[in-house]
Amino acid sequence: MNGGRLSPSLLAIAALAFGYGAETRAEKALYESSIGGVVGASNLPGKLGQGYLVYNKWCAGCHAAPYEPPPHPGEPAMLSSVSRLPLGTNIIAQRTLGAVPTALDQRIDLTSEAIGSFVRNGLNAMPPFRKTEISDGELEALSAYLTRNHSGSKSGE
Amino acid sequence: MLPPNVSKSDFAAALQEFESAVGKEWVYSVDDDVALYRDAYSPFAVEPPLQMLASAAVAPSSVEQVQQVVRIANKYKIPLYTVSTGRNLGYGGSSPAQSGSVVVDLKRMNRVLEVNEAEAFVVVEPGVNFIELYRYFEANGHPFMVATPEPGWGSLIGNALDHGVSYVMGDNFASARGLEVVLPNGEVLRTGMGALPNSRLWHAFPYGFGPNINGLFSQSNFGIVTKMGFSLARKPAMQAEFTVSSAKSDDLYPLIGVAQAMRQQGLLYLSSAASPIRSPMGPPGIEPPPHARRARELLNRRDGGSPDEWDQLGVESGVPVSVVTGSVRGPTQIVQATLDYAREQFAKIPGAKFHIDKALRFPLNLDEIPPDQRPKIGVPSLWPFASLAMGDTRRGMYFFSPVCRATAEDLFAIRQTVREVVLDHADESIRDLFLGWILANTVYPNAFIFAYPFAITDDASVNKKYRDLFTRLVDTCAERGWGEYRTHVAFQSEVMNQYSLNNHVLRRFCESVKDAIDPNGILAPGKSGIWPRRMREG
Ligand SMILES: Cc1cc2nc3c(=O)[nH]c(=O)nc-3n(C[C@H](O)[C@H](O)[C@H](O)COP(=O)(O)OP(=O)(O)OC[C@H]3O[C@@H](n4cnc5c(N)ncnc54)[C@H](O)[C@@H]3O)c2cc1C
Repeated sequence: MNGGRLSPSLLAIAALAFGYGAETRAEKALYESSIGGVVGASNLPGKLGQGYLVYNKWCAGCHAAPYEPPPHPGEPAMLSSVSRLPLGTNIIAQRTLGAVPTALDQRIDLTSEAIGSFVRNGLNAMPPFRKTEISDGELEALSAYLTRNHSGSKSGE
Repeated sequence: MLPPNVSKSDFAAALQEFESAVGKEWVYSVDDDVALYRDAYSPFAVEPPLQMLASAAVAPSSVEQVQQVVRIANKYKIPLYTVSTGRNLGYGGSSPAQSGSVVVDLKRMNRVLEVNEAEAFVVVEPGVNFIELYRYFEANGHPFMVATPEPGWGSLIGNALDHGVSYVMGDNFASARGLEVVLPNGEVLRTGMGALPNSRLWHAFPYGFGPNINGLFSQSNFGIVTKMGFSLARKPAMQAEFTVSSAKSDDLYPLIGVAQAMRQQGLLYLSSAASPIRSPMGPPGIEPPPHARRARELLNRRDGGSPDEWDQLGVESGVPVSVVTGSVRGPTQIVQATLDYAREQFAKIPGAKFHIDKALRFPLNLDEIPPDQRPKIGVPSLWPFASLAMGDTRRGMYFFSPVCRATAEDLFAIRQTVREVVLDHADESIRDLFLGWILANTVYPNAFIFAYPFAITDDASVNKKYRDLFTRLVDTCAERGWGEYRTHVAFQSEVMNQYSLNNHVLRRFCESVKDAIDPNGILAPGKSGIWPRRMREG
C-alpha cells in the first residue's frame, strides 16, 4: 500500500525548505469498511451511493458475504481461530437455511421498515445504532441502497 | 423517566437549556431516541425494573458545548454520564451507572486533530472510532497501525479510559499522551505539559510538573475527556507470530517462563498461553471430536485432572496440551533474528515444538488476511464479533475479567479457583464455558487478563443464577488475591468493594476527590463505585 513512497515527514521538511509551507497531502477518497480496510466511492448515483458507504461502514463487518481467501495456499496455522463467516451472515444463514443470500446487500426481499427496525432496535447480539452514528438521513440512504433491487411485494426477513 | 430528585419542571427547563447549548436536534428526550442509549447487552435484559436507563441524551459537538452542558447540569443537579462512542458492550454499553442520568454522547466530536509522523502520535476527539481512524490514516498515507480492540466501532478515548486492550499496543491507556478534560465545574484542564500555556511538548513528554494525574480520569467520574493524544505503532516491515506447543502439561511452566523472559527484554510485544486439550468446547452445531468428552470429564472433576491424565489424553488425541504464542514486529532482519533466538530458547525445553505461524510482510495485501485476523495487524474490523457472538447469544454477554500474574503457577491457580466456584455454585448446563481454558493473553507485560463471557438469556431466573455466580467468582477470587481489571457498570460498586485495603481507603480517597471537585455530584454518579456525598448519605 505504501511501498516505495518517500517518507512523508521528509516531504514536509523539503516543502518548508523551499518556502511553500507544509501543505498537507491530498486526501484520497477512501471510506470506512467495518470488514477491515477501506472502500472507494460507489458509482451508484446520489442516495444509493451514500447508502453503499453507510452499509460498508456500519453493516458489512457483520453482514457481508463469507470471506474467501485468495486461491494460493498459505502456510497452515496450527491454532486456527479463523471463522470465515461474519456473525450476522452466519445467523441469517442458519435461520433461513440458504433461502436468501446471506450478504444483506445482495438481498432482494428487505423492506425499508425492516431495515429501520433492525438498525434502531437491534436483534439478538446486534445492538441498535444511535442517531449520532447513523442519522435518519443516512438510514434512509441505507434503505435505498439495500432495497435498490427490490422486486416488489415481499417483506423483510 | 426523570433524573433522581429532579422535578419535572426543572428537567423540562434543563432540556431546553441543553437545546439552546447544542441545538434542538442534538438533545434526545423522546422515548424512541432515549431507548437507543440502553445497554444492548444488559445483564437485566428481561428484568426491566433493574435496568439502568438514561432520562435523555445530549450530543455536544465542541469543548465549549461540553462546558455548557456541565454548567447546566450543575444548575439543576442533573447527573450526566459520558460516553465517547458508547460501544462498551459487555461492560455497560452506553447506559449510565445510575438510572435517570443524562447521557453525554460525544460521537459528534469526531475530528482527528493531529497526526504527527515524526513523533508517532495522534490527537483525537472522543467520537473518533477505530474504523474511522484507519480510514484517515489510509486516506492521508500515514504509516501507522491502529491499536484497535476486537470490535472496531469503539473509540480510542472511551476504550483507553476503560483500560481497554488491543493486539497492537496491548495496554491502550499506557499509550496516552496528554489529556484535555472538562472538569465537573466546567473548567478545562490539560494534563502534563499541556498545563503550560503555549506548551511545545503536550504530546511528547509524559509528565508536566507536580502529580501525574492522567490516571485520575480513567475508570473515574472526575471529568469529561475532550481530547487525548496517543502513541502510535509504525507499520513494520514484518510482523510474525510463533507458536510453541508441547504434549506435556508441566511444560507450561518453562514455556511461559521463556516467553516472559523474551517479553521482559522487549523482544515480544504480545504473548499468550493456552491449553488446547483443555478447551474442548468447539463452535455450536459442530460435532465435538472424540477426546472432547474425556476432556470434559476431567475438567468437571474437582482437581481438574492430573498432569499425567492430560498428557495421556494429549498423546491419544494429538492435540497439544501446553501452548504459548509470541508476536514480533519490526524491521525484517530484527524479526528474523528474534525468531531465531526464540527458536533457540524454546529448544531448551525437550519436546517443545516451535512453529512460525505467520510472517507477514508489509505492505500487506489485506485480501489475504481473514477479516477476523485484521485487528492483529492494526486494521479494525467488526468481524471478530463472529467468534464471540455466534450461537445462542440471544442478548449479548457481559464479562468477568480477572487478572492473574503471567506465570504458569498463577494461571493454574486461578483456573482451579474458577473451577471450584463453578462446580460448587453453577448448574451443570452452564459450567462448560467456565471450566474450559479460554485464552489468556498477556497484553499487559506481566499479567494474564481474562474475559469470561456470561451469556444473557431470555430466562430471568437463569440470568439471576449467572449474576450470583459472577458475585461468587468476584468474592472468591478477591479472597485469594485476584481482582478484576474492568467490569460492567452494574457491578462496579461490587468490584470496588473488593479493593478494600485499610478500611476502603482507596474508595474513600476517590470519594474525597469527588466531593471536592464535584460538590453537586453531577458527573457519572456510581461509576467505578464512586458515589458523590449526596447519594452516599441518601
Ligand atoms: C465481543 C466483544 C469483544 C470485545 N473485545 C474487546 C477487546 O479486544 N479489547 C477491549 O478493550 N475491549 C473489548 N470489548 C469491550 C468494548 O466493546 C470495547 O472496549 C469498546 O471499545 C469500548 O467502547 P467505546 O470505545 O465505545 O467506549 P465508551 O462506551 O464510549 O466508553 C467506555 C466508558 O469510558 C468512560 N468514558 C468514555 N468516554 C469518556 C470521556 N470522554 N470522558 C470520561 N469518561 C469517558 C465511560 O464511563 C464509558 O462508559 C469487547 C466487547 C465485546 C462484546
